Amino acid sequence: MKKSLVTLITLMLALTLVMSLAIGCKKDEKPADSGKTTNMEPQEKDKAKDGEENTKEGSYADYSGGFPENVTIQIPVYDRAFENWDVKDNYYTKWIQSEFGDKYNITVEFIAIGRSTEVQDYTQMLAAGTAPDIIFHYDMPQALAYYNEGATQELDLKEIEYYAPDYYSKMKSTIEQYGAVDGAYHFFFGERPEAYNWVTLIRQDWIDAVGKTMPQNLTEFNELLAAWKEAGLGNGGGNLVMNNFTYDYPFRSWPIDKDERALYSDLSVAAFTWQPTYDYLKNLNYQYNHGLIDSEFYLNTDDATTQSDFVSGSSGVYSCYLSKNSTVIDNLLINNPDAKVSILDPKAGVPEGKVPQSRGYWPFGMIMGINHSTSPEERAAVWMYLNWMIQPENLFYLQNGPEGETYTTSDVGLAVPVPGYTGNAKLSNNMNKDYWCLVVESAQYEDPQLNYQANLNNWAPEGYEYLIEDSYNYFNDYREYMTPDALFSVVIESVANNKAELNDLWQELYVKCVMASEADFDKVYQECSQEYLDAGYQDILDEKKEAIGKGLFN
Amino acid sequence: MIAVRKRTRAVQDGQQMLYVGTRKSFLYYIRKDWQLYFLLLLPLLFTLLFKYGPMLGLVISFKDYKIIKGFLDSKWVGFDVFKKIFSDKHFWEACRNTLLLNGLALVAGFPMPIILALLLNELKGKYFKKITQTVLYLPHFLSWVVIGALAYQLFGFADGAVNNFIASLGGARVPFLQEDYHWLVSYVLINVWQTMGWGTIIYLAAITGVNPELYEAATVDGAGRWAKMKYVTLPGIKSTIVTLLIMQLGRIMGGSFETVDALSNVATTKFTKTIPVLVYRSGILNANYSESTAIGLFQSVIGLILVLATDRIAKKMGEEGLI
Amino acid sequence: MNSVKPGSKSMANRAADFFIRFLLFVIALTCILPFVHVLAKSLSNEAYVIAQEVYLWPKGLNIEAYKKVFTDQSIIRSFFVTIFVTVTFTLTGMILTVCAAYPLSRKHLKGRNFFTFLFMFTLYFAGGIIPDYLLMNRLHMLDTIWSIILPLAFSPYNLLIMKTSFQTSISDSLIESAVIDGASQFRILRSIVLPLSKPILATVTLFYAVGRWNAYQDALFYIKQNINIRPLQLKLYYLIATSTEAVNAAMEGTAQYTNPEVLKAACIIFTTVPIICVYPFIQKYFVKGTMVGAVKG
Repeated sequence: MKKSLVTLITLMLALTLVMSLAIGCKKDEKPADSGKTTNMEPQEKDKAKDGEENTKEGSYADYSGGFPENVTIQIPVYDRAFENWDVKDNYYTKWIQSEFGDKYNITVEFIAIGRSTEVQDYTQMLAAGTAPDIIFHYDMPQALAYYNEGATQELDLKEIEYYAPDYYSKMKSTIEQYGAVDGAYHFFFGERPEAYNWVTLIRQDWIDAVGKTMPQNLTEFNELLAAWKEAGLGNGGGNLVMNNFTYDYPFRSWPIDKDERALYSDLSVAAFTWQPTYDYLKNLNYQYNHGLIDSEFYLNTDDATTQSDFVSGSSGVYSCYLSKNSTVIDNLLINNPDAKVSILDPKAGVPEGKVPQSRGYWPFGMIMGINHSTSPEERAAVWMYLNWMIQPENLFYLQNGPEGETYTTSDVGLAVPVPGYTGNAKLSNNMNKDYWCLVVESAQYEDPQLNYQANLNNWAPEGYEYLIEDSYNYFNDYREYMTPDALFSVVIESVANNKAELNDLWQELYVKCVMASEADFDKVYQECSQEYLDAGYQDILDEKKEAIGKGLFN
Repeated sequence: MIAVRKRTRAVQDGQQMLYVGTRKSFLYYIRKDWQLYFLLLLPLLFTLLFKYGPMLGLVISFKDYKIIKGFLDSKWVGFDVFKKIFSDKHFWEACRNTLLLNGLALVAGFPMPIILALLLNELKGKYFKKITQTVLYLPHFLSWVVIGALAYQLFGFADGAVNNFIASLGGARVPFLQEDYHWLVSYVLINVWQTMGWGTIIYLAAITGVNPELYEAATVDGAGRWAKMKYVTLPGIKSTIVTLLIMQLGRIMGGSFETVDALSNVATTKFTKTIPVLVYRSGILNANYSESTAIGLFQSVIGLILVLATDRIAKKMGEEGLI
Repeated sequence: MNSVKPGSKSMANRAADFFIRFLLFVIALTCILPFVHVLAKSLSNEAYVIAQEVYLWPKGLNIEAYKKVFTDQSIIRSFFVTIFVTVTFTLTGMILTVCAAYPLSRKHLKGRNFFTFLFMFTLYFAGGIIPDYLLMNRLHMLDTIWSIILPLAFSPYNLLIMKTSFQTSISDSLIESAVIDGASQFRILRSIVLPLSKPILATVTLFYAVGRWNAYQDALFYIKQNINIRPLQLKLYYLIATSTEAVNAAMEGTAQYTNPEVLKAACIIFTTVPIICVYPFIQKYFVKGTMVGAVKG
C-alpha cells in the first residue's frame, strides 16, 4: 500500500508539472496587441525607442494633423454598475470618439475597472498583459506599489509639454513636485480643487436643550457631551478609526516641524507612538470612561452602522461627505421630527492652547502612470487626449451634456441640470465623473463666485444650503492651518510591507487603550506602543529617518 | 507497475477466467474496461485543463513574484517566503485559532445534520416534513455579511434585541459577541446554524438508499424506532458519514475569511486571527501574492496529509475510505 | 411506518413524536426568522431600516425598492442570464460527475485509486486567482458566458459524494448479472444505475444549481467588460458595494443610490426566492423504497 501511494503521488506530481508547463510556458508571452511591445525593462525600452524616435533631444513627432496609422489607446474607466449604463459604449464615449478620436486617427477604447475591485483588476490585467495605457489610483501608496511592480514607465516631462501644453501648464508644478520616484518621473495627475463637503453634523436642538452654545474647544465639547448625558439626550457618537489616519491633527503643535511631520504624519500608517496620538487617545479614554461617546463605537465600522446611531437618535454627532442626494437628514427627521442640525465647529475637537489643524489635500486627485508596455505613439495619443479633455468647452460638455437638452443655463451662468431627463444624452449617475476625473476632481467654473454657487448646488441637500455655507466659512477661517503631508520621493518599502498589518493592529490596540480604565491608561498605552513598534512600525520609522536625513521628501 | 491483484474478482468475471494468475499488461485493462475509461475521459480533460493548468501558479510561493515579470521570470528565492511566514509569531497564533475554530465547528457541526436527518426521517406528516426540510436550509442562502450585521443587531451588548429583552426582564446583559470565550461559543453556534440544514440534504438522500427490507426485518425482530435508527439507518449511511468526515477534516486548516470577518470586532480579538485572514491580508490588501500563495500552499499540504491519514485510518477500521 | 403497539410503548412513541416535532419546529423557526427580517426590511422605509428599528414587521410600508428592482432592465437581464448559466452549468456538471463517478465506483477498475486521487487532489490544491485569470485569458474565455460555466462545472466534492453513493447503494451483484447478460457499461449506467440513484442525483443536481446560483466571485473577475452577461448575484454584489461606497461617491461627486439598505434587502429576497423554490421539486425524489425489487432481478 505504501509503495503504491508513493507511486501515486509521484505520478501525479509529474502530471501536474507537465500540464502546468504546457500551459504555463507560453503564458508569459505578451499577446500581439496593437502596438504593444514585449516585456522589457522600462528604461532600456524607452532609451531604445527614444533613440529611434528622436533625432535630438526636444524634437518630437508632430501628430497635430493626426497619426499616419491608426493608434488605439485604452483608457480606464471606473465601472460603478450604474443601472442602464455601459461605461464602454454610450453617448459620451461616442462623442469622445467623434470629437477627438476621429480627428487624429485615434481609436479610443474604454476599459472598465471595477471600483471596488480595482487593484485586483489591474493586477490580473497586468499579469495577462492586457492592462490599459493608463494605470491609475487615488492613493499614493498603491500607485507606488504599481511602480514597484514595474507596471509604469518613465516619463519625459518635455514630451508631456509638447503634446499636452494646456494640461501641462496647469499641472506642471504638481507633476514636478510629486511625480518623481527614485529620481525618475512616473506619475502625472488630475487636479484636485478645494472641497469642503466633509462635514460633522451635530444636533443643534440638543445643544439648545441644555442651554449651551457651539463649543469652541475640546473642553467645552466634553462639557456639552456631559450635559447631554445628564439630560438623557444621547452620546457624542463615535466610530472605528481605520484605514485613513487624520485623527491627530487637532492635537499637533503649531508651527510644524517639517522633519517631524515627515516622520510621523502618514495617511496610511497611524503614528501610534507620537505625542499627539497619546493626547488623542487620552481624551478618547476620558470620553469613553465618562460615557460621553458611544460605548460600542468600535462596532461602527462603516457608514451604515455609524449613521444608524445618529438617525435613530442615540448619538448627536455624525461625520460624512454631504451631497445633494444625501438622505441622512431626511432619515433623521423621519425618526426624530424635531431634530435640527448644524455643522460642528472644527475648533470643538481642539484642546485648549492648540490650533484647528487639519489635513490639507495634496493638489492632485487621480494619480496616473503610463503602462510599461505602451508604445511611444500610444503615449503621445494619451497626452493629446488629456490636452483635448482639459479644454474648457470639452470638459464642460462632458460634465453637463448638450445645452438645452440636459441642462439649462441660469441667469448667473450656472448650468442647471434638467430634472428627470431620460433622453439619449443622459449623463452617468455621477455626471460622467469617471471620464473627466483624469484631469480634474470636481466641476469647476472660472469665476469663483459661480464656482461656489455650483458647489452649493452639488453638495447641499435641498433646503440645507446653510450647512455647506457654514462648512465653507469654517474652511476659510482655518485655511492657514491646513497642511498637506510630506511625500517621499523614494519608495518606503516598510510602509508597503507593513501597512495592512499595522492597520489591523492599530484598531486592536487603540481600542484597548480607550477601553482601559483611566488609572491604567498610561500603562496600557506603553505596552501597546511597544507592541506596535515591534510589529513593524520601528522599521518604518528607521527607514523614514534615513530618507529624511537625505532630504528625499517635500 | 502495481503487482498482484486479488484473484477472487477475476474468477467471478467470466471472461477473465482464462487469465487467472498472470500479470496483466496495462493495455489489457484498457481494452477490457474501455467503456469505463471512455467515460472518465471528459472529466479528466476538464480537470487537467481547469484545475491542473493553473497550478503552475503555486510556484510563486518560492519566488519573489513581480506581476510584470510573471511566474517564470520572477526571481527564485527557495524557502525564503516560507521562512518569513513561519517566523512570524502571528502565524502560529493564526494556526491555533484556525484549528480551534474549525475543530469546534466540526465537533459541534458534524453530528448536527445527521441528527436532523434522522429526526426528519422519523416524521410522519408529509407537509410538516417537507416544509421543515426547506426551511432548515434557508440560512445557507444568507451571505455572511448579512448574518454578521444581523448577529450584532440581535446580540449586541448595549443595543441588541436579545440583550434588551433580557434587561427588560431584569437580567444581566450577556456579551455574546464581545467577550472572547462567549464569542467563541457564539461563532461555533452560528456556524452550525448556517450549515446544518444544507448538510441534512445529503443524509436524507443517503437514508432513502437504505434497503427497506432491512427495516422490515428489524420490525419482525421486535426492534423499536430507536433500535432501528441505531442498527439499520446509521449503519446504512455510515459510508456517507465517513466520506464527508474525511473531506471535512481536510479543510480544517482552511475556512473562509468572510465567516470570521463578519462576526468579529476589534475589541474581541483573542480567537479571531485565522489563516484565511492572513491570506486575505497578504494577498488582497498587501498584494503580496508570493506570501498569500505560500500560506495557501501550507493549508493545502496540511489538508492533504489529514485526508490521507484519516483515509488510512478509515480503511484500517474496515471502511471504504475515500480513495 | 411503526406498527401500532398497545400500552406504554405507544405513549412513549407519541411523546417522542411530539418532542421531535417541537424541537424541529423551534430550529426551523430560528432558520426562517432572519428571512422574515430581511423581507420586512425590504418593505420598509429606509429611515427606519437605517435606524435599526425594523425587526420582523415592516415599518413605513413601501415597495419602492421592489419597483426599482423590477423596472431595472439590467437586473431583469441578469436574472435570465443566471437562469441560463445555472441550467447549463448544472447539466454540464451532472454529466461530467456521473461519467466520473460511475467508473470510479467499480472496484475492479485498474487505476481507480490513482484517478480518484487525481480528482480529489484538486479539492485541496489550487493555483490562485491570478493563474486562473491567466488561463481564462489564454483560452479567450474572458467576458464570455463560458467563463462562469465551464471551469467550476466539475466539482470533486460532488464527485466523491456520488461515487460513495453508487458504491453503497448499488449492489455489485446487480451489475455483474447485467454484465453476464451481455450489457455494455453504457447500458448499465443508463438503465440500471441512474434510475436507482434518483436521490443522490437529485441531491447533487441541487448542489450544483445552488452552488452556481449563489456564487459570484468568479464572475467578479471574469466578466468585466461585457456587462450584458452579468449574473444576478454579481449585480447584487455591485449594488451593495456601491451603496456602501456611497461615502466615497459623495466625496467624488454625487451619491447615486438612494435607499441602499432597503434596496439591498429587496435584492437579497429577489435573488434567493427563485432558488429556494427549486428544492420542493427535488424532495419528491427522496422517497424510500426505490431499491425494492431491484436486487431480485
